[in-house]
Amino acid sequence: MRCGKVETLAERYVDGRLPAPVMAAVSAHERTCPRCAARIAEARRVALALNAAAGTLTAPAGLLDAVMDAVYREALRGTPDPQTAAPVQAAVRGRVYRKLGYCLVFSAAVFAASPLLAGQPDRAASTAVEAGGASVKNVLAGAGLTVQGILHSKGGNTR
Amino acid sequence: MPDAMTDEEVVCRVRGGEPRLFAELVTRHRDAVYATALRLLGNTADAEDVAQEAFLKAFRGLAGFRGDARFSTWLYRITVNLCADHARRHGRPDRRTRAIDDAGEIADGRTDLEAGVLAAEERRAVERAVMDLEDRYRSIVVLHYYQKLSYEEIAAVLDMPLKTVETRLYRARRMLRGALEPGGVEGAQP
Repeated sequence: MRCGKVETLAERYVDGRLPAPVMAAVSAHERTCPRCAARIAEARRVALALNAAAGTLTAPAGLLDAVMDAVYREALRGTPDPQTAAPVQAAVRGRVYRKLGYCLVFSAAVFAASPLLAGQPDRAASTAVEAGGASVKNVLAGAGLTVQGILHSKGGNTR
Repeated sequence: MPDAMTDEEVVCRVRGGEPRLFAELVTRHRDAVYATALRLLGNTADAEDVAQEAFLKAFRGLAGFRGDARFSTWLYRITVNLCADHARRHGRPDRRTRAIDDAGEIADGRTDLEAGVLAAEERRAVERAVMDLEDRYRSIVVLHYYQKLSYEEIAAVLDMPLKTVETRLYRARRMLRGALEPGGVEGAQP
């Protein structure tokens, strides 16, 4: 076997993917030709490196949220299939309300806690809680109308 | 429970009006999609953008997903095509922007013994050489050696004959050998 042939067969040879007579011929050549032996050794090294290259890369933490935000925006923009429109919009509405809920609960907690943290008497705290509660009601009512308006404009069920 | 469902069952339910279940598909495949994009583009920001775009494109195309191939195969095809589009628009990845090694994000599961056999420096040299391969060779190397897809799966993803996959993979390995040989020239021709 000639060196040029070994050059083209080195990778298949190290993988054992040649017919038996060809494997034997390359093996015999490898023993007598230092240059081809070095080529085959390098082919083995590359194969080892590639086969060991099982490193997994972890996706950024925010990818899931970014994708689902885009998916829900897409769904809100209009679902081509009318059969799926209602449940899609219901899911969108649920997601929007859930996010609003988290914001409002957090805001209410801040309202309630602020006088206590500042060392104010109980009266101040209860006044702040009442004021916070009224604000929460107003924001919630406004947000609900906004969401209903968006869904209505997209032809969805706003009930 | 979504955990017990196959990808194809989840796809059916998403198509049936449960878009929230698409999150299950994203969770299952986000690492593979991101890793493929990063290995093909060499840039974390671009990889994240392409991964996001791939999932969104998959969501948009669910109605047309016939189920002839597995969902993961279809998703890989979308990802590879988006990477090819990105490379066409922005040119080949610049070595200065290659963040795979620098970001230190490779959380591999190699044993100490294997890690001992393969020096980290050599591994990086191979990864750099892979990044220097032409797109048509790099995509096959990435799918086979990094994502562990079989020749058959790669043929389905890239929509090419099995024989072409095998031929290109061996050519790619020959080019890598040429690039890594002492005195070898990176980007050696097939």
